[in-house]
Amino acid sequence: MAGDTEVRPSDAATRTPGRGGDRSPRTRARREKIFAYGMLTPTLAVVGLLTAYPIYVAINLSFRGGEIADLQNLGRYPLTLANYVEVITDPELLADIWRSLVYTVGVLAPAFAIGLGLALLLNRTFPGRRIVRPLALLPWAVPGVVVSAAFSWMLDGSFGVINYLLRSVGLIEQNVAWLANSSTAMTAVIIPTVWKFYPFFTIVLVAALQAIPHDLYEAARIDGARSWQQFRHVTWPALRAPAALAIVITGVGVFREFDFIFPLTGGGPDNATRTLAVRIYNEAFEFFSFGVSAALGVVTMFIAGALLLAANRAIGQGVR
Amino acid sequence: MRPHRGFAVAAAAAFAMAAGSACGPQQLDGTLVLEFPSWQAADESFSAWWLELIDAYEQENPGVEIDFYQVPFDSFVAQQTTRFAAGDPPDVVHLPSSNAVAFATRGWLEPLDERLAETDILQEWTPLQEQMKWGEDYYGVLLLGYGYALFYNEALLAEAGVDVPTSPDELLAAAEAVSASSDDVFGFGATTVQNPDNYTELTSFVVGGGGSWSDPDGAITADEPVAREALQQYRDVLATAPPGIQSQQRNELFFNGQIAMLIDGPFLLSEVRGAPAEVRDDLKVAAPPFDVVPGGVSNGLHVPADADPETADAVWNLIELAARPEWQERYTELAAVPAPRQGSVTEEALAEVPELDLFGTLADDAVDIFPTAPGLRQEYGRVGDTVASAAVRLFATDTTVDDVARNLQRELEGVGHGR
Repeated sequence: MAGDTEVRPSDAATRTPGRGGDRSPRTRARREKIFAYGMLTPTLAVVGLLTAYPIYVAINLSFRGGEIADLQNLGRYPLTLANYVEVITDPELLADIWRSLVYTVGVLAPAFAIGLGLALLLNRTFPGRRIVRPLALLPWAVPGVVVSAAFSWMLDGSFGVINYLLRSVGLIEQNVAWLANSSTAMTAVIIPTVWKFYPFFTIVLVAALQAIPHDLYEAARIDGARSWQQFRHVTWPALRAPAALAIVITGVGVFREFDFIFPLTGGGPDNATRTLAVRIYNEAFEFFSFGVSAALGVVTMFIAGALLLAANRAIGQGVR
Repeated sequence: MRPHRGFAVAAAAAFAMAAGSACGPQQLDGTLVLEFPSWQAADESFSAWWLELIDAYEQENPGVEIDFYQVPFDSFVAQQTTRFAAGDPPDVVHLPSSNAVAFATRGWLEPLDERLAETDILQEWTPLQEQMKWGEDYYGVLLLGYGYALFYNEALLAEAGVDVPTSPDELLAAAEAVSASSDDVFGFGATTVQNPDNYTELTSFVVGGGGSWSDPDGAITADEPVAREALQQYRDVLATAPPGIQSQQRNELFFNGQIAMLIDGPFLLSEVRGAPAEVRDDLKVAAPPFDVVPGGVSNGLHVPADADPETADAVWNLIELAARPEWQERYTELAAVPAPRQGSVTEEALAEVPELDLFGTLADDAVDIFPTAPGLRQEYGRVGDTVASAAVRLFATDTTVDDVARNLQRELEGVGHGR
């Protein structure tokens, strides 16, 4: 453009700062940082308030005794450690934690395996891929309660399609009351949860797969690497970090999952599927023990936090 | 006004309106709007009566409107619990009766004794109204008390060569005979997954056999011989039931002619009428096959404790209207169940629903299956959960009846301790 002069780096470096100009790169960096935080402040304040206030109420409630009936005036109720004493000395707590862990691992392992397999498949070119992709990811869009309702009919002990299919292929001789039997109920709540969660792994892993340069596979093939070796030395290292992150995010979600278990079994039969999340709900809304429920919630928060920290550390070490 | 200031004012106004709408009754143009959430607003058995009653109320009380809306039963108590705990109760409080005491003991419901004293409700109501009492005060008016009945498929019993049972032994024999007659039918229907209905179904056997979970003083009696016998009967009869089904699935199978017998309250009759034509005429009702008629309290109306006087009076006016003889008779006619006011079954209703005669007799004779001991009533949620777990052990495990009874005794003794 006429009148424009090209500014060379050397010119910029030796220019005298005018009014409003930066005195030094450090000052400018500081100003930019202040500006950035200034822009973020409203968001941080809102998010902080929305996160911190409920946590404060839960912690406050967990230290209150008596027949709590008014959550707006918790100050009326005496401070006490009784809720924590009751929760921690309850022999059922360990069983609830164990069931929560079994449920979480029971969901994560198959959901990740299915998600990874499907991601590897969808990363290939094949006829009808455009149709298969959204169909494979469809469960992610279905609300958990709807999934539970559908599976409650499929798992029906007398007329469910799952029993019919298993009988057809000869895997069972008699119908199984999946949701009524203590030994099968956990499996019965894990199955729909896996169905709901595997698409998340697929989405994350497909995105990661598409970021792997093809040159790496070409080089590996030239070096004589077979499919498994290509997966092990090229694909998996690229997937490790996003896979770990997806596992942690999903794991925390599943650990406190409620939507699938409660509609299907309510925590039964005979507490076989009573995870911490279900127990917290029952204490508050079935037994009206708000203080105990809040104390359980705080304990759950600490357990989830500890698992998250451990997972983060493992991810950090794994990625390095 | 600058645009952003206008936006702020609009937002503040919207927030104020939202906040206002979330607390207490709404006053719109001088009209008092009473919020009335219920699980019966869309119920085919009861909604017609409610809508007629509310229409009559609004005509009788100009300046008051009722916002009557549906909340699913499965989440109803949890929603109301949250709202009361948060200091935002509805204006008209409609509760399942098994939960009413828990709400009353937390100070969420207004004692109604003074208001009741000005009516004939306590004199004319079913004795089951006593379940609305906690301590010395009444906290609600019972809308439905009933005795359990035996619903049966006449054709299936005839095919199996058995009569309508009148005792637990006959019930078991009939159920086994029907189950043996075909692979596609079941002798008995029950809830065979863990569910609050497990409590009512198991306790019906216990109360029907003359037992209970506790004596009036609260001493647990789950391990007594009479209770053990009932647990054994329940286990044996449920062995003929479809495994792993909820109560709604149980009902569907009964209406389709795949279940021969089940025990339930009179409200099932309206659903029976919707059964397929080829089965409907075979579905009959009789007295339950027990020495004692087990009964229950279904639901009641209450006034929230901290309502302002105007709202409390308006809510009471609705309760008082519902309790009048003409509306009790209409309840019987529309819902096809005996209303709690004595003498509410009219000739017209009897001609339309002959079973009302039986239902009325059963309601009069009924012994409540809900706990009578104060400690257990207050902790009904925990009691129900504990008994439901015992029921599951009976129909889904090989645990001996003696062990189930012993565990239940111990667990019920622990209910409420340390709280």
